[in-house]
Amino acid sequence: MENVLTAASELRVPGEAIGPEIPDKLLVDRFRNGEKAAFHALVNRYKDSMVGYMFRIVNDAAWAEDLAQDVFLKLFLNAGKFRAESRFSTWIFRIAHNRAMDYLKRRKNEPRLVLDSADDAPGEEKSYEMRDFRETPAMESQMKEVEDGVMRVIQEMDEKYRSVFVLCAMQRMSYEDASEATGLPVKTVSSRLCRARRFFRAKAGRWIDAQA
Amino acid sequence: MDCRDFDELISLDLDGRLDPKAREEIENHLSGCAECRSEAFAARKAERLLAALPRHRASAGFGEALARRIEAAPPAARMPWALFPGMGRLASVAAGIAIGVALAGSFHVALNGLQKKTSAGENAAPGRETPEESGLVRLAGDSLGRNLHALETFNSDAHLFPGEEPDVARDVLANEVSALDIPGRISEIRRYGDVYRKRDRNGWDVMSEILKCTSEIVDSVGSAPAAGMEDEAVMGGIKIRAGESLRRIEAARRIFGPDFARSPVVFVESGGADVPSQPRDSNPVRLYVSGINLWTDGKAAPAIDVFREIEKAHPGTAMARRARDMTIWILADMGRVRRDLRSVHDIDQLLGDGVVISQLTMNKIESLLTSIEESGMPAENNLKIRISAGFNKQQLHVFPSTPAQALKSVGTVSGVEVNGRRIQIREGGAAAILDAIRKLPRPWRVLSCNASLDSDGRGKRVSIVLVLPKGASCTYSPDLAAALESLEKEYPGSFAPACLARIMVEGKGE
Repeated sequence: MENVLTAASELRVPGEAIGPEIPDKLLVDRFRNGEKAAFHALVNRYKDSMVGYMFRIVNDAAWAEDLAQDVFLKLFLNAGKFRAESRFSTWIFRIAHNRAMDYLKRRKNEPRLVLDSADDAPGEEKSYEMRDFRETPAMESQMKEVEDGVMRVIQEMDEKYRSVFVLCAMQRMSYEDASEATGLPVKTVSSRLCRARRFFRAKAGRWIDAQA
Repeated sequence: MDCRDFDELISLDLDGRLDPKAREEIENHLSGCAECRSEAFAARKAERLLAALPRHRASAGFGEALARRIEAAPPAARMPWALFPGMGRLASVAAGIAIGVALAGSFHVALNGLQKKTSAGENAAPGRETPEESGLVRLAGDSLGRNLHALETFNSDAHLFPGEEPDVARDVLANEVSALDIPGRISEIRRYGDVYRKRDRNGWDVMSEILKCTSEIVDSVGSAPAAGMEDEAVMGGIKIRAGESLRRIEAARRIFGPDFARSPVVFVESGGADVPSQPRDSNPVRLYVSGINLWTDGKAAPAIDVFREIEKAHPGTAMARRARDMTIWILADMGRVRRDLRSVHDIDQLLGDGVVISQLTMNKIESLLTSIEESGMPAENNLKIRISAGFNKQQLHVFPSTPAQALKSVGTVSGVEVNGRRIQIREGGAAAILDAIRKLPRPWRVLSCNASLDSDGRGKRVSIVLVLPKGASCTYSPDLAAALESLEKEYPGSFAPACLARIMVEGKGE
C-alpha cells in the first residue's frame, strides 16, 4: 500500500523539505509539536490516495475533493488522538472510510434536484487525471467510456461491499489494513470482497470481456 | 473441491493469500471444471481492468482549498490546545495561519484577514466574536473577500492594459468598467458579508437574507442571460432561463421551502450563484453575482456585457445569434479578453455571422456527438465526425464551476475521424479537418458547424467557436474554411491540436 500512498515528489514546502524516508508517525509527532511542514508533508503524502478513494466511493470529483479535505481537516483537528499502536495510513483511511459512509448515508436520504441545462448538469463535474493520449486518441476515448461503465457498476454495489471493494481491489490495501480502516473483522472483509468481486464480474462483463 | 467454494478461493488467490497447497488444489479443480475456469479467467481480467483505470488525484487547488477550510475552522479548534500547552490562543491561531500559508502559498488575502483576526483575538472574551472576526474579515479568504479586495483595488488601466496604447478593445472594456458600477458592487459584497456572518446561526437565515439581496439585484444582474440560451424550464412555478441563476435560487427555495439551504444539488455556474450541492459545515452557501466575477482574480470576463458592446458596434453580429442558437461563454483573463475581442472583430469581418468565444468542455463535446447520432437523419447523410480529446497536464473540469476552474478545462482535441477516415491533428488541424470535409462527396448541406479551439491553459491560444445556427439555410462554403484558415494564419499552430468541428448535413442540398 505504501507505494500507492507515498508521493515523494510532492513533499516539498517552501524553504524546507521532508523526504519520504521520514515515517508517518514521526511526521505526526512533529506536527503535534507545532511543525507546520510536517502537516503539509502528510497532506502531500496522502492527498492523492484520499481523493482517489473518495472518488471511487462517491463517483463525483468535486465531492471527492471535499471529502478528502474533510479527512485532512479532521486530521488537523484531531492529530492528538492518533495512537502509535496503529499505523497512520490505516488510521487516516479509517477517518476517510467513516466520512465516506457518513456522506453516502446522507446522500441516500436526500432528494436530488437538477436545475441546470441538460448538457451542463450540476453534480456532473468530473476531473480526470490527465495523460497524454495524443498518440492514441481512440484509446483515451475508449478508456473514458470504460471507466464510466466501471464506476457505474461500483456505484450500484451496496455500500458495505463498495467500501471493501474499493479499499482492497482498487486501492490494493491488505485485508488487515482494510479491517482496521472499516472496523470489520478480517474474515468479513474477505467475504465481502469476494461477493463484491462476484457482483462486479456479473455487472461489468461488457468491460471485462473487452480486456485483453 | 466444491465449485461453491471456488469464488472465495479465487478472490483470495487474486490477493495472494493462498498457500501453495491451496493454489495447487485450485489448479487441479480448474483443469477439470470449465465453468470455474471461465470464472477464474474473468476474475483475473477484472483485476486487470481495475488496475488499468486512471488514478484520480488531488487537484492543483487542493492545498489552497484545505488551507481555507482550516482557516475557517473556529479558532479554538484550529489547533488543539493540547498541542501547544501554555502557548495560548494566539499561538493556536498563528499556527493555523502558518499552516494555511504553507498550504496555500500565495493566499495573501487570507493571511491579511487572519492577521487582523489574531490581533483582535488577543483581547477577545472567549466565545464571543469581535467585530474584526465577523463579517468581511472572516471572508477575507473566500471568493467574496477576494472580490471585494479586487474591486477596491481595481484600476482598469493598470489591470487591463499595462503600458499599452489604447485600442478598440480598450475602449470597449473601458465602457464596461464604467457600466459595472463598481462602488455599487462593493456595497453588495459588503451586504453579503453581513449575511455571511450569520451562517453559523442558521442556514435558512442565511438563505433568506441572500434571497432578499438577490431579489433586489436580480433585475439588474440576474436577468442578464449568460449562457445556454436554449435552456429554459419552469421550476417551482417560475420560468427559468439559463443564466438567470438568481431566479433559479428563488425557484429552488419555493420547491424546497425552508429547508432549501440544506437541499442537494442546486446550481453551479461561473458568474452566477454557486450553492454547493450539499451544505457543508463550514461553507453552506456561496454566492457569486454575475458581473462581480469579472474581477475575481482579474480572470473572468462577463461575456454577455462584452458582447452587448460588440453588438452595439456591429449590429446583427454577436447578439443577433445569441438569441437563437448560440452559446456564449467567455472565461479568460483580461489579457486574453483583449486578444479575443480583436479576433471577434476579425471573424465578424470574415464571416459576417455568429461568432463567440467559448470554452467547450468535454460533456459539451459529448452532447454534440450524441445529438448528431440522435438527429434521426439518414446515416448516409450524416457527416460523422468522431472527436478524440487528449488533455494537457492540468485537470479537466467537465463542468467548470468557477472561472479559475474553467481556465483549467483545457482540452486539446487530438484526433478526428471524418466518416471513418482518421485525421491526426497536429499542426494545421483546422485546415486539415476542413480539407477532409471538402473532399467528401457532395451534395450536402450544412446545418450546423461548430468549431472550437481551446486554450492550452497558458494563455497562448484563444478559444473560438464559430456557430452557424442549426436550421439555418446555410450552405457550406469556402468562406468558413477561409475564416478558419485565416485564423490559423493569425494564430499559427494554435488551432492545430485543439480543433473541434461538428458538421451536420441534411438531405441533398445544393
